[in-house]
Amino acid sequence: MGDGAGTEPGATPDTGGPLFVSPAGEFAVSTDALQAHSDRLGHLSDQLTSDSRRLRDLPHLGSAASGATARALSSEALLEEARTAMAAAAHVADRAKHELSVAIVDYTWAEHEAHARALGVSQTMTATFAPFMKMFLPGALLAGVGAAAVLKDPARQRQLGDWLMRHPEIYTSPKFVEAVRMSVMSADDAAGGMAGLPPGAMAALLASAGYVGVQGGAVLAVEGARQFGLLQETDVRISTTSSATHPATPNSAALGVEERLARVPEGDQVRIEKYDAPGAEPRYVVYVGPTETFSPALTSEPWDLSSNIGGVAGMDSASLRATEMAMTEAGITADSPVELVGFSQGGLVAARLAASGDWHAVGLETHGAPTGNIELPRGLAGLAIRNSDDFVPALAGPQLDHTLTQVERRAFDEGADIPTDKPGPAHQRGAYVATATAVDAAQSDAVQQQIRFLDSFMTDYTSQEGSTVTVTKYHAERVP
Amino acid sequence: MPLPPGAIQTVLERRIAVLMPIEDRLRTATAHPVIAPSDWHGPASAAYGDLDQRVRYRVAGAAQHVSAALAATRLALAEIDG
Repeated sequence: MGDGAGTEPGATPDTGGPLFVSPAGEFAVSTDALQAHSDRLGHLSDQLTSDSRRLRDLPHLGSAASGATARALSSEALLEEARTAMAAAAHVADRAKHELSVAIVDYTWAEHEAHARALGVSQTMTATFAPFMKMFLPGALLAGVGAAAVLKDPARQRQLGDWLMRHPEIYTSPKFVEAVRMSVMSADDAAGGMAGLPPGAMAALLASAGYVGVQGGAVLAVEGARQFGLLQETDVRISTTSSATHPATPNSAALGVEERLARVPEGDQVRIEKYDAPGAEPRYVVYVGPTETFSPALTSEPWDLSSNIGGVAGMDSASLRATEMAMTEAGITADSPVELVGFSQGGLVAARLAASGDWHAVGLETHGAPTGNIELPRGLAGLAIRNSDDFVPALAGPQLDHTLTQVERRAFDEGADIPTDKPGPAHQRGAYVATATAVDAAQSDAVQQQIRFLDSFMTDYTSQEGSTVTVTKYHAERVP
Repeated sequence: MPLPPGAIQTVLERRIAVLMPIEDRLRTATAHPVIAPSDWHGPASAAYGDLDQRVRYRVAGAAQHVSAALAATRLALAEIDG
């Protein structure tokens, strides 16, 4: 999905909610402001402790026998009082930081337990009532066939799109997103119940085939749709649409989240930047574009619904294969350092490439990508950025992997006007540009450290004399 | 044991050199105290408010003590300089 770069009306950094941050490797979630407050308390405590030690280590005058005047000895007593006061202040600041961490963790656990209870209720109800739904199975099948026929017709697709655009409030809220998350987590239980299987049996069956969690539901959706000729998979081919090499300048590297998102391509689905510096191995940044068509019917476009759902399922997908072909074509080997950036389906492809172990991924930045169920390699740096009122990331279920720093906010805060000119406003590129601007302005160390790392992957080279940058764009097509 | 001539002056000058940047840092920290975010609400936030006040109070107290020690050290040095 994409609407071109730029911030559209109704999706600005100001209309969104506060940033919520979960630092890399941590489970706890808090606002960026709270994280930054905790960081500042930590810096203050460290500084006070360090200064207190410097005062302690100063030479002493001793007693009057040293020849020091009464005034000099008095100043020494005041110096000791200052040192004690600073050590006490450091202790209180450190305790405040600790109490803050406890509050953040307590809040996160309360949220987690509430979520786990809701999921448990959802799965129990699904497993309980699914057998009764068998009575409605013939009707449901007829409805499915009818829906498939309707969705094959472009005019009907437009009508459905128009209706959804006029009612964005229905699906642009954290509550709806949570409902989507629960639904995809319960999809395998629903299918199993309708097939007459006991609770958990379908999930176990799918797990034995290698499809765990939401992957199972996505596999069932793909296989079911294929019975009606939809979500078909094909071979894919790529072509180079442009390529140019230039001496590196300060503007060659994308600095910050917003600039990286701006380089994510549309139309030509993959953009690869090769950074060369004298005497050093090349570094590559791979930008992967978003979904180009939501048609479930087969077209020449590989960035389609089939690649979306197949990607969530962990199945073979055309967009993944095409990106790998472009990477090989660009000269990237299994040992080449690579930074991956993607928006929407592009983020899904980028995360799967990083998780595959086939490439030497050192950094990953995703925007609005359904990647919560993808287990990323330890040590990978980067950011996973989501709008909490965008249902697309929820299609991968809850955020299970915490390798990357997670950053989330509402694109449209409570009471903000939601635009009706495009479907899925919280998933539009404009909404993510606004969020990217907010992320760049984040105050917490957790976010800023990741941004600096992703920037330095390129600036390490562009700052060197004689370095060059080669930018190549690729277009992929399905080969039926 | 009496210190050699000039040693007391060196000690006091060294203290002033160390105390001055510390005083600057504490003045800055007092002028722009660590402010708790305003978008944090609820019981945990209320309980934390008291601790936040104590941090501010302690840092301000440390700043006053450092300023007093610096002023006294300067006076002691001036006394030696005559």
